[in-house]
Formats: sequence, C-alpha cells, structure tokens
Amino acid sequence: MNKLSIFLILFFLAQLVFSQSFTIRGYVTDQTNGERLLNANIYEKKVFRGTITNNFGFYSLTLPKGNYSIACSFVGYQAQLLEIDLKKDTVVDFKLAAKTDLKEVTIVGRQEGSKLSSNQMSKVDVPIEMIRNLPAFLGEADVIKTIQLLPGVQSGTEGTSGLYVRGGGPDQNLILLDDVPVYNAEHLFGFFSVFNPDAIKSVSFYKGGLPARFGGRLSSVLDIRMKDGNEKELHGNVSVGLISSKFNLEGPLIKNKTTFNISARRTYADLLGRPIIKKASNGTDVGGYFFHDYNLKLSHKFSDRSRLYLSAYTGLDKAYYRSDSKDTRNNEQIQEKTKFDLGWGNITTALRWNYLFSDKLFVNTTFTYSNYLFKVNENTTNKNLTTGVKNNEFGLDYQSGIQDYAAKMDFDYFPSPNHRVKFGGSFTNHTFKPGILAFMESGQENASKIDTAFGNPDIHAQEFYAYLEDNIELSPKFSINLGLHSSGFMVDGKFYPSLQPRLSLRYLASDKLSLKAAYSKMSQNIHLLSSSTINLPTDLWLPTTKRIKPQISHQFALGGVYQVKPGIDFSIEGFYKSMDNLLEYKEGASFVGATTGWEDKVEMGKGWSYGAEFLLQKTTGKTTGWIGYTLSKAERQFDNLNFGEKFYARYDRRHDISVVLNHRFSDRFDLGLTWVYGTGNAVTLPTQIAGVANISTTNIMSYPYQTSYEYFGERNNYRMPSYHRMDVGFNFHKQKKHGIRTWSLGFYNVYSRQNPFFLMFQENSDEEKAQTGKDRKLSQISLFPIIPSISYSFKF
Amino acid sequence: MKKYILLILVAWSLLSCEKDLKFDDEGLANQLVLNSIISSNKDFSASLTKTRSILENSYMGSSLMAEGTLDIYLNGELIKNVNSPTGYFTPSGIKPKAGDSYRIVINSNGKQLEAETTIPKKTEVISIDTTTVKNQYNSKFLIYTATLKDLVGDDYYRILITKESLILNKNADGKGTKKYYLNTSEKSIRSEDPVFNSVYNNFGGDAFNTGPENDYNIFPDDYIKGKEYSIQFHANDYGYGNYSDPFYPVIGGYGDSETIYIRNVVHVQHLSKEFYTYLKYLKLYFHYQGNPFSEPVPVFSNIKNGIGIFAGFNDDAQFMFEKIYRPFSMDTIKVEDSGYNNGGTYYYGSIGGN
Repeated sequence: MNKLSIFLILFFLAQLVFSQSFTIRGYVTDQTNGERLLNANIYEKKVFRGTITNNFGFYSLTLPKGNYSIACSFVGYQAQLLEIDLKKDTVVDFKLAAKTDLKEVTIVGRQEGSKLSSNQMSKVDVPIEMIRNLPAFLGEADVIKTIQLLPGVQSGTEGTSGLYVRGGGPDQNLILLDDVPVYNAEHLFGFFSVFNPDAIKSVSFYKGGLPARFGGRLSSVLDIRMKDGNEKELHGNVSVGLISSKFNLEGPLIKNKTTFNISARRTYADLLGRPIIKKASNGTDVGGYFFHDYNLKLSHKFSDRSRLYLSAYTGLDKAYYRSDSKDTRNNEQIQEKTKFDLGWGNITTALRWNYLFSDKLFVNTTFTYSNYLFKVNENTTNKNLTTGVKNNEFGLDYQSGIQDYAAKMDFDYFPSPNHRVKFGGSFTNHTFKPGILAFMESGQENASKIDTAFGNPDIHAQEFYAYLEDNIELSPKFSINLGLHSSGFMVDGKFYPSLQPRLSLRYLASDKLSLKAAYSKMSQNIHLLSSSTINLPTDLWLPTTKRIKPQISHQFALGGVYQVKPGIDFSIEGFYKSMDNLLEYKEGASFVGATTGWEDKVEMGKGWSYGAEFLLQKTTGKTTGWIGYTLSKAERQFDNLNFGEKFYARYDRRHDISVVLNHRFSDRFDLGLTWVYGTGNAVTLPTQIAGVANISTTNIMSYPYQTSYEYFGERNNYRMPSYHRMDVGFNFHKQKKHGIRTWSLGFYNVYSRQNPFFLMFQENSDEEKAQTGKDRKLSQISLFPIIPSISYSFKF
Repeated sequence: MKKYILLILVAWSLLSCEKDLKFDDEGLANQLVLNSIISSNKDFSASLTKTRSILENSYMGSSLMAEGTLDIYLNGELIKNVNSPTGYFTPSGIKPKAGDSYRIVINSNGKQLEAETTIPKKTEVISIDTTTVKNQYNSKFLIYTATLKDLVGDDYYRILITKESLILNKNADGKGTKKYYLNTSEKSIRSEDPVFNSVYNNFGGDAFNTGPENDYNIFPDDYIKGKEYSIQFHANDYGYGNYSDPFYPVIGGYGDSETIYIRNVVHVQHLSKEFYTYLKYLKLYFHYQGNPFSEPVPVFSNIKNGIGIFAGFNDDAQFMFEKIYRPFSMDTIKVEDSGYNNGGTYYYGSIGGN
C-alpha cells in the first residue's frame, strides 16, 4: 500500500467521521437587553475546538457525536458553560450577563476571539465604554479620537479627526457605519467626529492584515456597528454638555421581536450667541454655527432564521449669517440683505437582511445609500425701497460631494470546526460631484449682468468586488486565514481590475505566546483631494480616471502576542508598507478654487512606511487601558515633486507614545487619563536666503527687485516642536430612583502645553529688531490651551 | 471660496495663541551658493556667495561673497584653477562650445562643492519668417514663425527677442548738442502656442489659480519629440530694460530724438535640463511665494554640497531683423559711455556733431 492509498483512506475516514457530526448553532446575546454580541468566544474544552460569533452575533460549531462542555465568553460578561450530549443538530442561544464590574477574567478554555488565539493581527477592538469614559475635547466622547491613541495611528494636526495609519494618508481609511462607507466623518473641521457613542455597539479597527472581505482603501478599516436596541424594555440616556446636548432612546416596538434605537445630538453655541450678535448689530445681523446628527436603527426578527435591520444616520454642519439693514441716502431708503450658508453633511442608510439558510450557512444581504454633500450659498441684494428698484444682486452657489448606491451579499459558511469560510460580493454605483460653482450678478439697467456656472459635471463610476476567505485551523497550534479579494472599477469607459491576495498566519508557540504574520495587497479607486494642513469640508472625493490610476499597497506585518496574565496582553508588530499611485498637490497648486481640471493639480508618486509598534493592553479589572509606542518612518517619492528626490511624508512621526488609562475607584467614581507624545510633524520651512543666478536677459518687469529666494532644501524639511498633551476626566455616578446620573468633569491639555499648529515667519517690531538684530522671527501658532469641560448625563 | 477659508482661519486664529520659537538661523545660514550660467561662445563666469539668515528681510541686502578656489574640468580634464578672494570667478580664455561637458569643483571654507553641465547643440532652426498683422486696434505688429527640428532625446528651448536701437537726440543739452544712444532690451513675447502653455499649464484653467506666465518663454520638447515644429509668437513693441519706441524716442535729454535703426534679434536657445528646470521653478517660486494656500515651491539646485545652479545653454541660433530709418555709418558715430540694466545692456554717451 503506497503512501497515496494511506492518505486517501485516512481522508475518507475523516469524511466519514464528519458525516456523523452535528452542528451546534445559535446567537450570543446580552441577557439584559437582547443586544447581539459580536466576536464572542464559543469553545469546546475537551477537543479544543472553537469559533467566534460573526457581525450579527451568530455562531456555528460542528463536532462529532458525543458529550461536550461548551463554554461561551465575552469580555465584560459572565462566561457560561454548557454540558451537551450532541446527537443531533442543536440550537443553543447563549444569553450572557454583564458583569457589574470588570473583574479579572476567568478564562474558560482558549479564547478564540482573543488577540492571542486569533489569526487576525493589527486589529483592535475598542470597548465603547472605554470611549465613553476617557476624557474628551470639550467633553464630547469621540470614537476617532480614541482610535488616534492606538499605536500605528497618527492624528494629523492638533485636535482634528484625521487618521494617518502606518504612514498612509487620511483618505486611505474605510470608515464603515453598519456596513455603509462614511466619506466625511468630521464635524467642525475635524475637531469632532460624526459618531455619537450613545448609538454605537462596537468599534473594530484594522490597520493591517486586512481580511479579504474588506477592500477599497489602502491603510485601515474602522468598522463601527450601531446598537440594535433593547429587546426587553425601554431605556435611554440624556446628556447635557458645554457645547452640545444629546439623547438616546432604545427599546422594543414589539417585545423580543422589533426593536428601535434612536439618538440625536446638537450643538447650541449658535443659539446662545444669537442674542449677543443681534444686540451688537442693532438687530440687523444673525449668525452662528452648529452641527447635529441623528442615528436610527430598527430591527425586526421574523424568525430564528430571519432578521431585518434598518440603520440610518444623518448629520449636518452649518455656518450661517443673515443681515438685513436699512439706510437712508438722499431721502431714499436703501435695504441691504445678505444671506450666507455654508454646510456639509452625510446621510447613510443600510437595509440588511440576515437569513440562516442552514445550520452552517448564514447570509446577510445589504442595500446601502451614502451621500456626502458640501454646499455654499451666498446672496446679497441692494434695493431702493423708496422707488422699489433693485440696485444690484450678487449670488454664489457651490456644491460638491459624492453619492453611492450599493448592494452586497456576505456569506458565513461553517463547513467543519477547522474552517470558517466567508465569501460574498458587492456592487456600488458612485456619483462623484466634483464641484459646480455658479455666479449670478445683476444690477440696474446698463450694468453688467452675469449668470454663469463652471466646474465639472457629475462623474459616474461603478465598482464591484467579490471575495473568498477561509480561516483554517491546520493544527491546534497553527492556523491560517487565506483570502482573495477581486475588484473592478469602471469609469469613463476605462476598466481597472485588481486581484488582491490576503494571508494571515498564527502559530501558538505556547499557551501564552503566539506568533503572527500577515500580507495584504490593497487597491483604492477613489482619491481624496485634500488640503495640505487642515481638514476642510471642501476636501473632494474623486475617482480614478484615465490619467489617475488606482492606489495600490502591499503590506507585510510580523509580530507576536504575549499574554502577561489573563486580561493583559503585550504585543509587538513590525510592518512594511509600500504604496503606488499616491496623490499629492503639485508644487504651487492650491486647494482653493474650482475643481476644473483637478487632474492637472496633482502628481502621482510612491510611498513607503515601516516601523514597529508595541502595545501593552489591559482589558479587565478596575484599571483598563493601554500603553502604546510606535517607532516608524514614512517617505514619499514623486517624479515631479522635490525634483524626484525622496522626502518625508507630512505626518512621518519617528516616535509616538500613548498612555490610556481608565480606573474605576468605585461604582460612584471613575477616572480617565490619556497622555500622548509625538515627534513634531514635518513641514516645509525655508531656513536660509540664497541669491538668484544672474540671468542677463531675465524679464525684469515682473520681479525687478527679487535677487534672492528663500531656500528650504527639500519638501517637509523641518520638524515642528514635538507634541504632547495630557487629558484627564472624572466621572461621578449616582444611582437614582429611575436610573444613574453622571457628572463628568474633564480637562483637555491639563498642563496647557502650547502644541504647534503651524509655524510662520513674522516681522519683528522695532523694539524686537533692536533687541535681536533680526528683521523677522519664527512664531508658532497653537490652538488649545487647557480647556475644562463639564457634562451631565442621566441613564435610565 | 478663498473668502470662506479665510473666515475659517480668522475664526481659528481667535482661538489660537502664539509664541516665538528659538530658531538657529545663524547655524543654518552661511551655506555656500554657487551660481554659474554658461553659454556657447561667451566667457565663462561664476559667483560664490553665502546664504543669509532667514530672519533677515528676504529681499533686502546683497549676498555675502565667499572666497574660494575654482577648478574647471572640460570633458573630464582639468583646464583651469583659479582663486578668487571676492567670490567672482572670470577665468580667462574659456569660451564654452556646443557639446562641451563641464564639471566645476569649488573649495571654500573647508567645503567642496561640485556640479556639472553640458552645453547643448545649436538649435536646428529650419526657417524663421515674419508676417505683419493688424490687431483689433488697427495697430501693426510682427508675428514670427520659427520652424525648428527637434533633436533626439529630451530637449529644452527658450525663445528670446532682444532689441537694439540707435537713437539720436538732436538737442540733448538744450544747446544743440547731438547725442547717440545705443540701447538694448528684451522684448516681451506673447504666444498662444501650446508648447509655451504646457510648462505651467495653469492647473487646468482654474479660475482661482491662473498660475504664472511663461515669462522666460521656455518649453520642453514633450509635444514635438524628434519632429519639425513651427512656433508662432509675437513681441510687444514695448521692451523691457528701457524705452526705445520709435514713436517716443526721447531719451537721455530734452530735445527731439530720432531713431536711426532698430534691430530685433530672435534667439532660439537650446537649454540644458538644469537651466530649464531652474528657470521653470524660479518663476513658479516667485509667483506662489507668500500664498498661504499654495504648496511650497522649491528653487532648483544642482550643486552637490551646496546651493545654486551650474547650467549651460546654446545661444548660437540668432536671427536678426533690422529696420533702418536713416542711413548711417558707425564709423562716424561715437556711442558714449555704457551702463547696465538687468534687462539688457544699454549704452549712452554723446558726440559732438552730426
């Protein structure tokens, strides 16, 4: 009998064994509110087989006939153990009870979803409670600001919500809210993100080793899931802060069948400021700024096998100004009216239907709509009220944005304990609105009349992808996640196909140490034409075109996780990422202006980043949080920038440290603290003045006096001073008759560090000139000194 | 749109606070700057200066000269070694020729700077013609059509028109003294030809960002690779430098003036890549400098261990168009003292008589 025959016999015996196997499947939910728990761990202790719940709390575990001890656990919940005599397919729904405090965990078997055992590397699940309890700018708990505290993630400029992940740009992050891409996740120029933590159930962040089910961005995926709503009873939360108030209400519409979850938030600085502005202008002027956002989620359970979800988000930022003044000139009354609105906002909607085809096959069908619109409108009229004649009128209207319709299907297939297969596909119809600017000007007779519009028409593009990934347990120690993501992008008659292999490996060297490696190729067909220094709503999403190619990246990561003790992990990851077809503005180009010919404003080039990330994380106990350190380098090379020489990326940051702590002293008092340190951002700053060559025939009419120029060597040649800041927050809770009230007191930048926002040269005063002997000085502009905040919330 | 962006910045500045930073301007300054533009059949020259502190007023004051030693290598062979205590190098007997490759090495203050360039071949101009046309105001002007044959490889060109005119002032001092003035200047060229517009392309016609004018009239051969190509351009009759319009020829005195002749010389220069890049970025730099919304523009440098430019060009393709208003003989005319103007060289003087 040769080896092949032995192999075939063993193979068929294995099949025979599995043909006598049965499947345990079900959902893992929160006992109190019925909320489904994602990535909960289900593990069989005797045969060392396990799985985790999917994004809808579903699991499926196939085992041979026999007696088993099935454990179900999830961080923050009491584990459950179930003895089962498996002799037929069985439905087991685990209903876990939340722990009153996060005591040190009791480990029940191997944690399938834990960092130690998961194939997935470079992923962090941030507990929503952690986000809520950490100190925040003006008391507004912020998902993205918390993500910025993770190693490998840079924050861009002071206070803003940009994510720069492992040397990538702010456009390279796929931000998903219930599976819908959010294109502009920022309120107030990035000082706040659009996600209201009250409406959110889970936050998962992938910065490398991206599974095949994700695509379309080079650097990261931020997967945010909204709460379904309490199945059992009505609950809510009301919060009043310095700049905004918000509420959240959730509960059953039909008990254990239909739920809702609704949240709303609005700032009110404009409402408070309105009387002041009105008084200062003698009643003629009104102006202000506000943002608001609303989240709604409905879910309905048709049966154990079928469930429907509707999620919606809408948010708006708006700055406005109105003026209506009357004046008497030459015995005639003249009225001057001005109306100005500047606004931007997103609408996202997802309709999702879960259906369990069999005990092993779960399918989710999703239809999504996403719209981002930026709009400016101004109208000024001057009218003679005595004669009724309109003297002149000026109008300006500008709009830009992006709109998507998409449909997708995702399958979770659990053929055997050794395999967890995911496959699916998606189709998206994009409409890019690169900006139309319309002017209107009219006056009295004989005066010039203008009524014109210029800009680019809408661009339509179609994008699709299909993926297949298999999480394979080759042995109890060795597992692999193998995947392929295939995408296509059709624009302007041009088709860009892409095949993107993904691979993750995990080797359990011991019960406490696992070693991991990952490779992912990513392709990105849309680009963000963004300002160089600040996040503005004018930033434009634009498609790959005939001239502008898709961005491509290859990322390799290697690392390990060491479990110091249960609930405390120490991980190290090294990464190398190369990127092609990155976009940067041309030298001299400006983000201001109409977008006609935007392709002429940009250059395409390459980028590299590499580094090491260290993370010590504690997820249980009275003290939770992490200490992270990143050592990294990010470079760019563009043939037509910096004369083809390499230069540092704008947010290249050699050292980045973050300390994030949350300590619960008692049920009545907890404290949050963050401290961040980062090497100064790279900026282009002239450092000396050099003489111009004498070109005898230069056209001197243009610049007859300029015989020297400011020299800066290379792009991003200078480092700003380093950035560091500490924020502290105190939360005081008290149980009341109908719920818990919390007073939160916070201090942003507690030691009032003047961090650099930008640098500039300024003329010295005569006195300063006399003192220093210099004509100019280098000044640093900082944004925020210590900023206290206070908020009150009541949870019922 | 700028208005709104400015509003945002103003709003931010209300929140912001400011502090002065310590800046090691002196430590960063005093780097060596070597500038040398050489052309065919013209004397070789170079200047060595030092950078100034960025905290000085950028456009005031002159560069600080630096002492140094210059080695000139022609096609790999050392042909000259000169020392200059002033930083001006004018080595005698070196007139670059087409195809010559020069490498220069400068030693100054313990530092060694190096750079190299090649004098390109003479531009192959097949023909150059002029046509007189009238504009909408019924004024006549000349349109030039230069047909050139692009060479193999990457080439860079520049069109230049210099103007030389001899002016007679019949009563320069109010006492009947006649004076002759010979002045030269550069004429302003205008063209709709796409080769000129391709240099800066003005960001796709962005209404808010029109980009710089191609004042140096430079262009690469991207659109004409290896082909014959006819470029049309015209020159405004007002020149840079000083005024020499035949209709307003009063110069250097009080009396009536008369134009003796006007010579326009069209130069079709063949530039080295270094020179083209330097001119292109110099113009971009000055155009966008000080604009807070623009990406920074660097000025090109090809000096190893230093700053500046060492670049060659070929200026052998010159075509003269002359109009004589009155017969003259240079044998009987004495043009007096000469002066220098950045836009060109003009001479003035006086003779008694004629």
